[in-house]
Amino acid sequence: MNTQSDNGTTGTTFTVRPSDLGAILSDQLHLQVTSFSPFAEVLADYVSGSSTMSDTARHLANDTAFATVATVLARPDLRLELLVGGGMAPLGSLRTYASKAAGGMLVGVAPGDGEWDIRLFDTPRSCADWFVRQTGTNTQEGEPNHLAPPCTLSTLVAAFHTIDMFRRAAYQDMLAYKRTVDPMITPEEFRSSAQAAIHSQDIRWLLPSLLVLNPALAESIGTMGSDGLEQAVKRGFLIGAKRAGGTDTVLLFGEAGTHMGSEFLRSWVSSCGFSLDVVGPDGPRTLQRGYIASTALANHWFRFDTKDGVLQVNHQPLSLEQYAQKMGDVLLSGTVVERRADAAGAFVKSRQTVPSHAVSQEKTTSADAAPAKTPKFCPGCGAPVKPGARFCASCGRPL
Amino acid sequence: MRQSTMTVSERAELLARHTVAHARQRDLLAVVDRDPEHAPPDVLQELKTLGEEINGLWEQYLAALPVVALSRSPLSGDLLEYAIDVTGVDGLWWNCNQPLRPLQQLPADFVGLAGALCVGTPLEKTPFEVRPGPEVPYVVPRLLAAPGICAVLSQVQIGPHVGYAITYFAEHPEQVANRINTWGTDFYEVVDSQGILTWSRDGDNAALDRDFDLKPWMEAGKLLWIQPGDTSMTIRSDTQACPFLALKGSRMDSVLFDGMRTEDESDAFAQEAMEAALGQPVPTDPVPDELWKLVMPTNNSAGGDSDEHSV
Repeated sequence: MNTQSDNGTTGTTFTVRPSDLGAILSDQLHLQVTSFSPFAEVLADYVSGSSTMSDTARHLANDTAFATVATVLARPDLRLELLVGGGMAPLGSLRTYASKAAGGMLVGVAPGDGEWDIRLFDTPRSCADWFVRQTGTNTQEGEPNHLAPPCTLSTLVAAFHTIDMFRRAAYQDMLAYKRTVDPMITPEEFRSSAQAAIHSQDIRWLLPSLLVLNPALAESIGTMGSDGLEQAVKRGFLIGAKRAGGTDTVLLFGEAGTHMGSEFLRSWVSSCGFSLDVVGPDGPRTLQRGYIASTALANHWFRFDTKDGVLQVNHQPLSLEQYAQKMGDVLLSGTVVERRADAAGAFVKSRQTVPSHAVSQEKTTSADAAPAKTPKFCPGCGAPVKPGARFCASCGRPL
Repeated sequence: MRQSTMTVSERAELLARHTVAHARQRDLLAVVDRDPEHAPPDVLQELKTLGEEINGLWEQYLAALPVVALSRSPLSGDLLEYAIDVTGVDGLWWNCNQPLRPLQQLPADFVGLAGALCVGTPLEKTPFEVRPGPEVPYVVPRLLAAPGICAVLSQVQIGPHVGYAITYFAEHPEQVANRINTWGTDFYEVVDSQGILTWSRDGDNAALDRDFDLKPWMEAGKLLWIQPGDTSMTIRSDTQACPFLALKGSRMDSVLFDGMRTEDESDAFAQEAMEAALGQPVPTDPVPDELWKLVMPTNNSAGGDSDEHSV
């Protein structure tokens, strides 16, 4: 066992061999695991009393902190699955679990070669902070949002492929010891190379990393679609042009394509796909899905929502603090709000409704005052009315 | 989105009826105000009838207002669909002292709507003041500089005029205490966390806190824009193709009244004038005797006290 404290944000960490899990959980702690548990697969074929316990396993079985962790992991009702890779990072995964019975506590499990690292977090926020500081980049707010919502998956695919094409052009230039002014590509080349990228599974490129780190997207993607290319042009990723003296259309990199292409060429650190799932009476269901790509300029946060049967992408370039806040919100939405709510949509904010004719010229608040409560107003024009007045002094309506 | 359910001529007729009824109502209210306790019953009855007529006209006007896609939140992606009189600035929506606007369904992250209007011709004759902002769009730095707040610039045709909507959105709108006056008015409203309608207004010096240099805000990712005529309302952040960066027009607030456009006296100018006046002799000298005698003849012949005057 390896037990350590990490700057107060996390509690204890444990290292355990999967081969010891049967003896610890089943024989010593007598825990029943559900199919949602990370132990389910390991314990599926385990026969009680069939293995001898190592000293390490015996030590763990007697550790009360580990017993708490094991209880959460045996019967969790929430899972945040994180797949990390791309940029400079190899493919890896982390699953974080919570159980209603254990309150706000979360347990992270990172499977490795022959050993699992297990980490206990006191709160959803501390879990989010720890993860974000491991994978995010320390950036400031203010990066332009070239993919402001609403954005379709086709648009995202086209934008990501444009970024990859920009990187590819830069690498080709480097290999050829030359500098190309205004690199160009034909629409057909763009589409065919996008198809190749989609099927490549090569997470060194942004578009494939999106699909590998968010496996559920693969079924939605299919092809890029013509609207994706149109949107990439419309949003300034690509510019349609004609070759000098020719009639065929070529694509140049636009302001957005150049900006994000340079950003990812020079400083893409890593990406992460996430899926937040909860177990309800009807079985597991996904609450939120998303993807984060971290560079030296921003932590690009992409959340995938289904609206009217269409997958929508909400992109925000975030600072490190904002990233931690968002990830914390994701976990809280599952651990706190979702458990309290009867309906899945209970934490969706309602729209504001403002009756704009309820106020008139006669208001007298100071410039810096926070909004004041509405006094008695004329139901017609909204002007304040004197007590006992028979007519509104502003509009004349009988009161 | 919803188109106006009223034709241009129907709208003009409604506004004309409203102008007549409102003028008559104002006259009668002046009569009642002179002696509220002894107002003639026939005047009260006519006021009641006029009130009902005006209410009916308001309801018709509100029901016919078109709802247009005015902007979009770059944070949530929600469309801002806004009931606004796009036929012309002679509509009651634009009356700056008594703007007639219906319930608005706003995105949850909406913070405020400011605007500008490049005034075209012919300018409508309005019996009320319209204050549609300057002729070119601007941002409010104190608001936009705050973390988590961004704005979107879009264009909307208002009759012969070109309107510019500058809509602010925030990640946490409930934390934005001091907002901006809603386009064409001198106040703004907020529904607080308890669902209670509250209101306030931007300060008298709000016009001084404006930045017409939009490019740095776009480059900083704080101001986004929508291409005029783009029905998909796609939000853009690039600056090269942005048509709003080359606009020319007055940066002073327009005041439209009775078919005339004047410019609001800049607060900076007023402030300078006040500062210049400080230290000058204050005109508190008594009225010269010669002048006083002209307007208020004294009863000197009666030998009365010169301090007492009678007519």
